[in-house]
Amino acid sequence: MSGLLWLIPCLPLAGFLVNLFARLPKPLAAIVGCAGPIASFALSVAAFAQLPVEQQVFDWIKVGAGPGALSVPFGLRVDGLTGVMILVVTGVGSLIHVYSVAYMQDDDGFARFFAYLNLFMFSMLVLVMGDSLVLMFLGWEGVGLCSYLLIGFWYKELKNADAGKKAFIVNRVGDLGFVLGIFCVWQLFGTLDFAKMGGMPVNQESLAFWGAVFLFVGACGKSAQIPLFVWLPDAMAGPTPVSALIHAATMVTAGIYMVGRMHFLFAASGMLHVLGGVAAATALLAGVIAVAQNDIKKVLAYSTVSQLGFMFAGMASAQFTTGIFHVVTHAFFKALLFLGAGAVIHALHGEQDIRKMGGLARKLPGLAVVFIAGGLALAGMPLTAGYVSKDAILAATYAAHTGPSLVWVTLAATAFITAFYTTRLILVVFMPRPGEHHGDPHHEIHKPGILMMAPLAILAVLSLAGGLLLEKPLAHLLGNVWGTEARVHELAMRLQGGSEFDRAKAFIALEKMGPGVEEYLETRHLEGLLKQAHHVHSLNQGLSIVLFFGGFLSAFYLYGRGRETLKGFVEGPGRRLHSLVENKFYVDEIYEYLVVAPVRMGATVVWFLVDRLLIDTLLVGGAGKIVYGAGWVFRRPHTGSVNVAIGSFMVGALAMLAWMVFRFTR
Amino acid sequence: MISNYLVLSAALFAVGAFGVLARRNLLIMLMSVELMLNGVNVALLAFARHWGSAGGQHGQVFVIMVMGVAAAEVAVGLAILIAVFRNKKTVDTGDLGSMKG
Repeated sequence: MSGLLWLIPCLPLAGFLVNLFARLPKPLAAIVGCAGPIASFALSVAAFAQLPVEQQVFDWIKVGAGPGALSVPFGLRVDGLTGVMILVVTGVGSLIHVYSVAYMQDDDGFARFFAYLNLFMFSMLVLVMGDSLVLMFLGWEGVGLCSYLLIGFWYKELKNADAGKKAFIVNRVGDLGFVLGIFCVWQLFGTLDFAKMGGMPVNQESLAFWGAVFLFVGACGKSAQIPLFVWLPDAMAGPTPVSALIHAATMVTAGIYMVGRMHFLFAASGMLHVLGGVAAATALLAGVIAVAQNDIKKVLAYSTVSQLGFMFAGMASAQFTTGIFHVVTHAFFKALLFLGAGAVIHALHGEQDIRKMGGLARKLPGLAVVFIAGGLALAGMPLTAGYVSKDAILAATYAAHTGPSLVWVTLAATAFITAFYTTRLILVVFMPRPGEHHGDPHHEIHKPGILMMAPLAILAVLSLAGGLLLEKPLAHLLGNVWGTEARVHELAMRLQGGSEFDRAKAFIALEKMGPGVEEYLETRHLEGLLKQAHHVHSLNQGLSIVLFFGGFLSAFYLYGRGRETLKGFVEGPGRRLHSLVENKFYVDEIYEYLVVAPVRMGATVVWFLVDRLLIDTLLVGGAGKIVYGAGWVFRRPHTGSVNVAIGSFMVGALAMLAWMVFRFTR
Repeated sequence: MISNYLVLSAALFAVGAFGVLARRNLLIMLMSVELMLNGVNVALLAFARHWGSAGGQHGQVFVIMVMGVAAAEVAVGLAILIAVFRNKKTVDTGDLGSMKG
């Protein structure tokens, strides 16, 4: 198997090349486009069965020799973490590819779409399979490029092209952070290979701090955290399968994956506190914004930003398994919701405004069932995938701070809001509104076909059952990665202060973390903590259930019987608040004012001084002026008169003669 | 008396030079060039005679060369002159200003 590892990313790459250049007819392009990811999925399963696997494909970069030499082989490594990621990427990715065949069937850019999607798969797989930061960065940039290409897929509309540019430019900021972070890591460890640096001591604390800061900036860009989250909602300009694959299920989780990979650096530098704060703030902000959005994709986009905050919070609690677990479950239910939203939009001929929907449950019962399944998972209905993973993050956060903390309270509030806006979305889209007549009953509706419904059904099952099914295997698998959890624990203890007791409590917050935990505690005579851990867990479980039903019921009331109350509030005392939230707290406008306008002004000044004055006028224009002036001077003697020419010739001849006489007669 | 010959030579050359510089008719200018050449020829012959066999026969041979070159030059010059006349209908240098920069 290890010899075939390179095929996992390269099969989609082959699909990309074929679809880009071959100009196949649509059915053939679809087969080529889907075959690569599906084959990769099969290979991923095979690789997963024999963890850990690795392969050095070829020597990529070699600089210098001896100590301090930089050598970056193109090496792929699949451990538990990567295994989980490639299964999600290829599995969910394959489903979305199949769905796209139906969704994009009438589009002129059909083959181009699949080419880009396949290139994305290649980049994402390189990102998660690469065994060094450089290879990860290669994939990191590749997915950024594909994101740009696919957001602006319908580039004929300026709005879409602008959204693509915005995503690309905002990600530049993050990517600069990533590059600087790589430099710091190189300085710190002298290697960029994850396995090698993982076992090394962290000596220079300031370097480790800055490395973690810069990498965190990179993660913020890719995974849409404050202050770099503004591109993700706009990224919904792309086709809906793209939103599902790139901007919900896989690419945006790259930042979480990276934090997981570099966990030792983050733990050692104390950055986890910052991470937790930013994550919680992002989760709450995006969750609140999602409540007042009316575009079905915007609601889901802000919900994604919010859930990414949850994942980061999980990482920040040093319970890295919880963050990755939420990545997996979120991939299921958010891909489902986006694909479901795509089917709704498809059915309604491109309508995205939820205020113009309603009563779809009767017209599209199958779609309604799967969409509600995804919605309940997002909202955190007990026993669904979203509930299990979100609850784990809450518990981990609670334990990491040894009790209620601001981050924990914020996350709990966000969980409530999540349940609220998800219920609102489902009610407004699928339930008939009392006393309102919706649309023309004879208005034709596109029923989604089997190619669309089959992926949705699979994802629905995973969204409902995936959490309970996967929790233990995942914990066991990932426990081996961060492994020696004792090491994480030790780092956290060494650098975050606090007594051993507190840290140990953090460490076992999830008593399901793995089979090694109990042994670990027994050897340290800390068995009593297990009981406390159980207590923490059941407390948070109870809280999660209360939060879900709270959000669910209040939305049910406000968008059902209490419509008038809500309407009165929004149009009366809450008018200002509502417009503030509806306009996304004017974050885009603030950025426009604080960042875009100054940059544009600076660019104008530089354009005028450097481009117009220095280059155009002085250098380019100046060279011409010099030649022109010299020509003017030399043209004067050329009078065109034969006599003047002969006269000057004679004067010259005489002068030469005189000179010779003078010179040779001495 | 070599100085007499040299005076004659200088006079011929000066007349020729004046003609080339001052006249505007190309034909006259060409004739003036011939005068200048012959002025030089006179000087060459005078010097050849003056130095006698001590200087060898170089001076006289050189005069023959100059006459040959002059004949060729006149042939070319007249041909150009005729061509100019055919095109411009004039041989007055005042009217031939197309080389003005």
